[in-house]
Amino acid sequence: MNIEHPRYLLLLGVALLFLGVMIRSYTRSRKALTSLTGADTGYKGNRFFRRFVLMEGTFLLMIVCILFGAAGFTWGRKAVEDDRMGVDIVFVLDISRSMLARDIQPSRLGFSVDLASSLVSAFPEARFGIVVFKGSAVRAIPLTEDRWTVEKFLREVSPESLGSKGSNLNEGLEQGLASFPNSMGRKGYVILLSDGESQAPISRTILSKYREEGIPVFCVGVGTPQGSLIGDPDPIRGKDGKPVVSRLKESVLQEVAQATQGIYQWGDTPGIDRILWERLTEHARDRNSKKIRYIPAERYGVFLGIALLLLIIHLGARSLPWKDLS
Amino acid sequence: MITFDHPGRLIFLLLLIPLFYFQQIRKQRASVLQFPFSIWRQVKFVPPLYGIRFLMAVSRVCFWGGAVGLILSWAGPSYVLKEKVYLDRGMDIMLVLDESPSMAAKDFQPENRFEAARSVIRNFVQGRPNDSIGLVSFALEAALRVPPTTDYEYFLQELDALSIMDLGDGTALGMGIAVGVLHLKGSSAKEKALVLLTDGKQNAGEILPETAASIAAQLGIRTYVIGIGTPGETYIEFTNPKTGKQYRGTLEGGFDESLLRRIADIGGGSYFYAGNPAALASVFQIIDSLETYDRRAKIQIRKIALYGSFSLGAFILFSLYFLIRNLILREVL
Repeated sequence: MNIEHPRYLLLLGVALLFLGVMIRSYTRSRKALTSLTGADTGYKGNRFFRRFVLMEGTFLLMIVCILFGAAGFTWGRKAVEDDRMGVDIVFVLDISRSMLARDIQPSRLGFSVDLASSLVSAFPEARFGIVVFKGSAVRAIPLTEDRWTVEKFLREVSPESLGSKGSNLNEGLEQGLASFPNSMGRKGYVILLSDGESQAPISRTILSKYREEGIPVFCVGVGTPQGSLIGDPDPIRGKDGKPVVSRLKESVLQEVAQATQGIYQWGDTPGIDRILWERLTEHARDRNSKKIRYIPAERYGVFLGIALLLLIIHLGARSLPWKDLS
Repeated sequence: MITFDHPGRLIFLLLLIPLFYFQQIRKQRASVLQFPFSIWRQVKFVPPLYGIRFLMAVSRVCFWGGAVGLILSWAGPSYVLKEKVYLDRGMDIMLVLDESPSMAAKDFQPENRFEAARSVIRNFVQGRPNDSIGLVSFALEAALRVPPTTDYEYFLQELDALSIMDLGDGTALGMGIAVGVLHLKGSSAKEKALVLLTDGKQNAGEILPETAASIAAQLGIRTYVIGIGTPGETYIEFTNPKTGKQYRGTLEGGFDESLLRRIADIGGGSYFYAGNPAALASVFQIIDSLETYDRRAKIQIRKIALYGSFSLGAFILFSLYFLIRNLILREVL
């Protein structure tokens, strides 16, 4: 299950506020009715309470259901037409300082570059592009068939290729998506090579754009969960003077892969290049033969349908004669 | 255009008509408690109560507007975008641009030769959808600026970043062609072309232009050559991007036309002369028309779901209704 627009759920706080207003309104209304009709008219007590709960309860639940509908819950999959041919692959390469850690040989960055190079050789008919990111991201190589340029860039890339500091995975993913020009009619894939360290949580908006465009992100976790010092022989130190230990954040990369219908693979898996090649080929072949792709099924209809039903009950309750509530 | 994923659900809008009738029009309802105003806190009401009636009308509009919004969002509204998708691989074109200091000559108004070339290239690229276009620039040396790509946004960004004398003082025509050919070599495109744009004579580089053009021809790459500039003395002015130093002076002598013709002949293309910006634009139009082919394309529909916005609209309207009724009108059920 996934939520497309989780920010709408923040409005549930408004629904809670409404509940408070309703309780206050209930107390005020009972007092008003008593003063208007006297104590024994029968319009207060249980009859009033039942009517109140039916009317206001259905209204409040309807508001909640509308918000759930707006939030865009998805579960299950549905097939959509996909007749795109040819493959475009964009490498989103983390070149932050933490990629210099040597918990994977020769270094996280060196490993990523080797893996990318072997995939470039493995897909002779694909077009490749490269995005590099640290605190900011740039499209270093646009989608091209010119392997010579791609390989040359991979040989030369280093953390110094970008001046910004930090590690902003969102920027990398955004540039990765922007690398695919519209109207090309080709299947797009992003291969994210990173240790998962990011200064900001992953943006749901970006992930949902990937889903809309049908571009899965194949994530490769580079590093180890135990982590490693960055820089040899003089490790980078934090503000407290202690050496900084950089660890692989698998959960971040798994989240990206899951949300975009890609896969996550740990970099140090034996035969990782072959595994990735097989998964990519299988994925592309599957889409070629069936001419369909699967996207998460949006379930707003369930919640909004319930909301409509509650609206009808609410209106029905408003029309109920008072005497029928006794 | 807005469409609905489940248009059948819109029929529920009709349900609102009887509901509206029973709620708002049919007055005699046992659900309404009616009291004489005079007993309310012993205060005499002063009709006609315009403010309250206005607020009640607003709250009703909000409520029924919210109900309509709810049904519309349930029907799955989407904004439909139509996109042209090309079904064939386009051709590859490598633009090889001279950025030697002589390109700063002011004989191409309003700026200079280089800016005129840049402007024409920009228009040319935008008129070649689906073709992979690359960019090489040369002066004393030659460098690939953009590999052949359909990412025109990236291409134009890099084109704008070019500056005169960035690659030194000289004209390495042969190197420029060779670098362009090198990056077209691995292309799977059926048609490949190289467009050389220069105002100078070969005076640098280790590769002869004729040799580079011959290699291009062997690889099936047609070479078009454009000689730009006016004969005679020309005023020149530019700033070295590396040192920030400004250069001013006069330039004499133009390109070696016979060499350029030879390059075009060897490369299987054509030679063109452009003596002013309009002529340069015309030359690019001619090349554009020479390099045409049938493009197969289809229109692809892309939908942007709007149910979230519609639901949010319904939520806002219902909330307004609720707040007016409970906090302002202080309704007693």
